[in-house]
Amino acid sequence: MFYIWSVSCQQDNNIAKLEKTIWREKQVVFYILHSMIYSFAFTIHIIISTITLLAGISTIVMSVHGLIKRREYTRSDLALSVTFNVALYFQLILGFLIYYLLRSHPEGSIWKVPNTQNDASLRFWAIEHIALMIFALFLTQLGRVFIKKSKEPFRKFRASLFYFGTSLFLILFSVTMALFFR
Amino acid sequence: MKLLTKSTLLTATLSLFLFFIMGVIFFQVLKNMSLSTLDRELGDLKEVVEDHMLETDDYQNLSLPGIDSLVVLPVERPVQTGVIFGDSVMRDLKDKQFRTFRYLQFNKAKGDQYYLVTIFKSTNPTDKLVEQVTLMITLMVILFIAGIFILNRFIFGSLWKDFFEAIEKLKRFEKTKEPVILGEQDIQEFDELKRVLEVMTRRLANDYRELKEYTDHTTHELQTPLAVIKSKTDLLIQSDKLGAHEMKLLEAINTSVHQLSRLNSTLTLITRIENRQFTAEGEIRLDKLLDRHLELLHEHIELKQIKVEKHYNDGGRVILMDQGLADLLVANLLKNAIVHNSEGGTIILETGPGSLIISNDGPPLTFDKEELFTRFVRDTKRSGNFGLGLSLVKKVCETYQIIIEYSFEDQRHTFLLNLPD
Repeated sequence: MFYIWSVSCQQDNNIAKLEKTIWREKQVVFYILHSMIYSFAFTIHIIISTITLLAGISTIVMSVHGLIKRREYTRSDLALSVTFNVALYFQLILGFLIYYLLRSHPEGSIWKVPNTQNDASLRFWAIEHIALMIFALFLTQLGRVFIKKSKEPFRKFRASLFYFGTSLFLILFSVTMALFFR
Repeated sequence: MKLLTKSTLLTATLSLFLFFIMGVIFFQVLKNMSLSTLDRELGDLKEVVEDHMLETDDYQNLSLPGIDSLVVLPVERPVQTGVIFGDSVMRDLKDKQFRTFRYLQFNKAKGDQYYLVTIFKSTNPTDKLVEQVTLMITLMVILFIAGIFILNRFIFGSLWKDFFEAIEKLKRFEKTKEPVILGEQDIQEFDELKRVLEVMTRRLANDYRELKEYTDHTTHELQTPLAVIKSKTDLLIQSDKLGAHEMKLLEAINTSVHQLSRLNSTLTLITRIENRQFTAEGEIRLDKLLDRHLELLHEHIELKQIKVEKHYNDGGRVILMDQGLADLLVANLLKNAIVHNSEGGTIILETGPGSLIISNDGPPLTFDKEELFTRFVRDTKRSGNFGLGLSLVKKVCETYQIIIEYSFEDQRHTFLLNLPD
């Protein structure tokens, strides 16, 4: 009787050990996957941000050119503004993914460790970035609607300059903040 | 751009900027408030720590409520004077995460020994609050703008209802020529608009009616005296008591009277078309209609040795039109093409699924292209016509919503008629 009990006890113990190793393995796999997705998302985020910046700058240059030369609003102008807007939408999705991954990571180490003593201003960098970019996205979306609804090319270029210009200003502001404070 | 779209877009843009500025101010204030609250709490804790240090010597195991971490280091001499606030990062051993802390550092002397005391307090709760409030404000903008879109639609619809009604009535004025009378207006500006519109359209309608009556009466009343003159001159011509000179004069009178009577009947026709007195609609096949009129005019065509090319591609399409007006339209266009054709020229007739093209050779117009369809505009070198034919054509086209276009290329005059579906 006692023998049976002890055997079953041992078996239980073995099963518990096995479960623990499985759980650990699962944990490791989760860590690796998590880190992979994170670094992948982050890389794409950076690549798209370059595209966004280029599209934004060329949109502004084209609209200034259009305003000065008084030319027609062409398909390439439209394509550039749409690229700008759509890239920002992608950034929003990726950004929220990254934000979620950062917060949910079991190993907090991916949070970049601030290395200076006075880091109060840095604590909210992510939040400031998110808020600024969402406003920039809204502006580009409104600008697109405005351009679509306007008829004269002059008004289209003016709306394009105003909305995309303000949006680009917000983006550049955030970028400089990231470059100089981080 | 529609009024509603523009007002909504401008409201959205402006509120976006307002929200942005509000958000920035809110965020900064919240950030500073959370920081100063933390600092004040640390200041309070400093007094508590100092009190406890007087009571006990075991500083390493000093644990007090509200303090996340306390470090007491014995030093030989005071490192600093006064109190220092700062930020720091520490790794939480429990959940293995880096956490930000606010700390307060001060010197404390006990007997001969100096101590450097640092009190740490986690910024996590306040940070979370600031973070969430800021995110909420950002996301609230979406809700707010969606709200603006919906509200604007409702408010706008009810506010500008009368305005759109006025526009609709003005559009109808073009056809009915009846004064635009709007209902009672609640809004002062629309009330003014209503009064101005009423006065204006009433006067326009009056003018139009008077002019119409005048044309009606003159054309009608002219007919009787004209008929009398015609019959009397005929009688005079038949009399044999007149000499050659008198006969010549009579001949001139006769021609002029005939011209006058033709002019009168054409003007009557135009007035009747304008008054929409032709309402009978019959099914008419364009190709048959054209062939019939070519048959009627074949003498004129042969006289000028004109070649006629026919391209009928409308597949025997039937159009709904008054028979008389259809005859008038085609006859006038064909006559025009023959009269203004050059000797031995060509006429090309082409019908498509929704179009009729009549083109002929000929010298360019001596007047402006825009005046082609206006009454009494004609080539001054030619006599015998009044320039009313194309005016009639235009009137018929307007009645049946046919769009007529004229062009001149390579010494060819082309009339393109776009038939409605």
